[in-house]
Amino acid sequence: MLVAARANGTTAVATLALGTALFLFWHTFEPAYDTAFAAAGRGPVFYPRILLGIIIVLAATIALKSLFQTSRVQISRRPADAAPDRAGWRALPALVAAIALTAGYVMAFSAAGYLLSTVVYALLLPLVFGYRNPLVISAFAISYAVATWYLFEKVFLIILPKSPWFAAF
Amino acid sequence: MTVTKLGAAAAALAGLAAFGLAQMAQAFPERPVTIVVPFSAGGGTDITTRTLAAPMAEALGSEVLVKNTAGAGGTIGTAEVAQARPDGYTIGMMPVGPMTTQPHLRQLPYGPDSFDYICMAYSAPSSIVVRSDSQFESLENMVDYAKANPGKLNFGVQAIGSIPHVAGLGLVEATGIQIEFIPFKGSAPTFKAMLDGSVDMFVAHISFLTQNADQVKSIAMLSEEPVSTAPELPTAEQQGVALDFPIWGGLVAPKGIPEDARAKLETACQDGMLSDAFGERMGSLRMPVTFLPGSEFEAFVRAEFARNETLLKNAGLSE
Amino acid sequence: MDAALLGLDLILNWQVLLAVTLGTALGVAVGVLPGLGSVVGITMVLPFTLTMGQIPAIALLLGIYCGSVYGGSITAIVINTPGTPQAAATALDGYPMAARGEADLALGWATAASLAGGLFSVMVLMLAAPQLAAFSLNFTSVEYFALGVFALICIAQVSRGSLLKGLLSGAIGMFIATIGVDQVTGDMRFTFGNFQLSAGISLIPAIVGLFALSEMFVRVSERYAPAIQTDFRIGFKIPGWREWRPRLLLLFKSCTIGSFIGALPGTGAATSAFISYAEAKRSSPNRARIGKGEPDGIVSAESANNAVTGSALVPTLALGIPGDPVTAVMLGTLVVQGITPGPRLFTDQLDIVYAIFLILIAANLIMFAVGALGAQAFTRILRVPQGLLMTGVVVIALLGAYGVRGNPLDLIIALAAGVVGFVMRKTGFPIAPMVIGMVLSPMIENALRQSLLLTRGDFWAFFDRPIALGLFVLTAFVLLWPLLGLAWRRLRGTAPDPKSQARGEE
Repeated sequence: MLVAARANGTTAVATLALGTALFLFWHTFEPAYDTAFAAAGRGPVFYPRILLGIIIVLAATIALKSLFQTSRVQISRRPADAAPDRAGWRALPALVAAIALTAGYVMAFSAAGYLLSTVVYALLLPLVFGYRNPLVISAFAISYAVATWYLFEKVFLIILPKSPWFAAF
Repeated sequence: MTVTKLGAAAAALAGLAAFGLAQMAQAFPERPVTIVVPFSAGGGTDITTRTLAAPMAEALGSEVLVKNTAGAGGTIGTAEVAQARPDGYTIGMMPVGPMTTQPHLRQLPYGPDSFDYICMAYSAPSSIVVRSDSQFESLENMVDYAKANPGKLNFGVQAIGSIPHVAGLGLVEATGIQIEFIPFKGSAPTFKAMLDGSVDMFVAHISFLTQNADQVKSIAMLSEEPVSTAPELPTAEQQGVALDFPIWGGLVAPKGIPEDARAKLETACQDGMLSDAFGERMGSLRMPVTFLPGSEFEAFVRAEFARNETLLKNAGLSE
Repeated sequence: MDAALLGLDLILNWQVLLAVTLGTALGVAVGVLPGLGSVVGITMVLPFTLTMGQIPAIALLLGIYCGSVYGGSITAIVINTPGTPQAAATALDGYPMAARGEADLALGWATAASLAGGLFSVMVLMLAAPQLAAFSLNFTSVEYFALGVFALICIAQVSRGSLLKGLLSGAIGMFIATIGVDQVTGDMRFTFGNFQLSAGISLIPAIVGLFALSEMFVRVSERYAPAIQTDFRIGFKIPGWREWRPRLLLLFKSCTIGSFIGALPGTGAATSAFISYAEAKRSSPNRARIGKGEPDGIVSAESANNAVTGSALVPTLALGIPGDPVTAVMLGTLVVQGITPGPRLFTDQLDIVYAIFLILIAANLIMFAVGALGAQAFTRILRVPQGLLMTGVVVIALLGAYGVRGNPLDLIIALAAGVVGFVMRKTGFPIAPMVIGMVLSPMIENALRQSLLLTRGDFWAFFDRPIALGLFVLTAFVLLWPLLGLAWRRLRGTAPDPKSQARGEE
């Protein structure tokens, strides 16, 4: 059961890599890359093409091999992984939430400034882990956001994005 | 409950926003000014900017911060300044490369028209350097050798389309010699390649020449007139080849900043450059202090922009 | 000897001792924070170095330098997120060890190995700087290419489980590094007209995503899994002599690798740590356990990356070629005070050179003390509730990813790398090879194309150069090593025993 899932995952990743590499390989023949300059050093896609070729061969081999193995291997060689994997499906909503939350944070980081976006993110992300102590979470979110903001902006002198609403942050 | 909290927060934000707008009407500068440096911290441009920032802050009566936005030959940081709010609080220390050569190499979201010009902050002469044990004593030596052995000499380049590269293209155009350009990543690897014998020469900043006086020598300073801080070094012009390739940078602001803010920044820039701290730093690297006000700086940038366009086009590098 | 005394005289005053102490502590701090490295430390102290005296300024900078290379290992061990790229190899064994509850011991190994590596390289610098500098000039682009190809073997060595998957991961990493401006022609590659992407995909956001974010996602996805009850030991524990004795040869070998690679400008501590790790994986008697929390892995990586610190000063001082921003600023400080780097520095200004040696030794000792004291706090982090710990880690890691270049695109890159890293970990693709690929790829490509320009397009001319040829032969030898072993046993008529077979599979 698990091995099948693993192998399917492997097949999917390898197939994705294969498809992307094939597309990029095709892309290297675009006229934009036809520069005659620096001929002895080869053109801009000389080296990437070698890498893409290697990726295509490796990805195709892995995809075929895992497809072939899925039908044969029945017993799990790594029983220790079985439990987390089944539990993994149950955690799917939490995982999606964590990714979506982080994506939102990344967008808000430059749009709403570091400090405000971090307070919100640090309030919400612990919930995804099932941590539910509102007092601790709010104290943590605010103090952590302010402390890191101060550390970077004032001590390390790394200027962080500001919100459109305040002059200082 | 969360909804009411959010509502309260939004109301507070709106109130503060109104407060922020009201503040903007007051005299410049009301809050810290940020200078964007399009290269990473610790480099030449960064150190010069930081040396200037302190006395400038004193002259402005407000904090001056330095922000490094590195990447893609300085174009990312330059685009950031071009697209910043034109209020005078975000300005950039823009070097020659991203301002006048990169726009010819590829499509960029800015050009010389995207900026208001505040001041030129530094302009250091460049020089063609060779190893101190090199057979070449002068530009003439080298050109004669190159003519007798076409395509044999290697010319190191710190980055494609950088001023040292453009200077090399200018040399080729002026003398008709054939040399091979070998690109490296930055000046340290280029210097390394000259020491290990891979390349025969490259174009460097005068401070490099000062730093490595033991191991390199200049065969031609690429400036119109003898360099005030190094009058003993012959220029290319004196050797019959007109080449003038200073490595400069200056403060610019996004187009459309209030004139009083621009004028205040210009004055602060001049005061900062006349300060002892700035003068000492420049002097120790044999860099002349060369202030230009905004209007003259703009004319200068446009002239360089046009000249470099021609050189890059003739070399087949420009699109 | 006079020069040594003069050097000692130069550093024995409170400014210098204070500067080196503060610098080292600051270096450890910026190294610990994921994404931040020595460059941030320099940014902070730059205004002071411009005004303070020359020796104190150098002390401050060298402290930051040594501290930051070591600091990255702490985060790598405690939260599986290398604080700096140099510490990526340390995470491979450090984290599994900490996950077992032995963070105190893992930090002990890492700190002691770092100290050994650092002191070893100071010795190299003292004894052989001019010779080593002269030797490094034999390394032209052709040799760098050969060295890069040799280093690629690490990918195979670090690939746990499936060799093919590791190779694919490495090849993808190498490809990712080509996105952005082509160094040789100035053309844009694979940016599809996106201006922000023209800056390329830099290493630090990728590491932050592949390690820190994917770790967070993995933990979220396992929130219903039966928790593994581990008692996380707190503090700092130096392994005893009996543990060290069988590893002395490994330590010596790793220090040598680090010192040698450090002397080549532009290669760096990350490369040397991976090469040294791969060598341990190839030759250590404990190689079957490397990757699962074996001290050999930590010792090889940490001693090699810290051994770079001293020897990186060889090209800086003896040739005037700084290998990174820290040594560049240090060089600037020397020059402003009228000291010219170059071979003559070692004859004319010997007192300054000795002062630098002594500062380096002091920095390494202070680094050890900071690590030992700080371990109390660092290991305690593991007891913070998981939800808060991971939030804190992700926020600071993203902040670091942004801070490197100040480019918001880097945050998106980190997020994408996080999702990619998560999927790879769930499907059994190792992520370390991808990082190695990204580290080595620019060096290999640029060196290859520069070499082709220098030889005017003649690839076969690469083999005319003895050092390059030697490296190519060595590469072939190491690659064929398992086959050679097999052939040797066949020849002697002994069938491979089951134990070594099992080892070969791992």
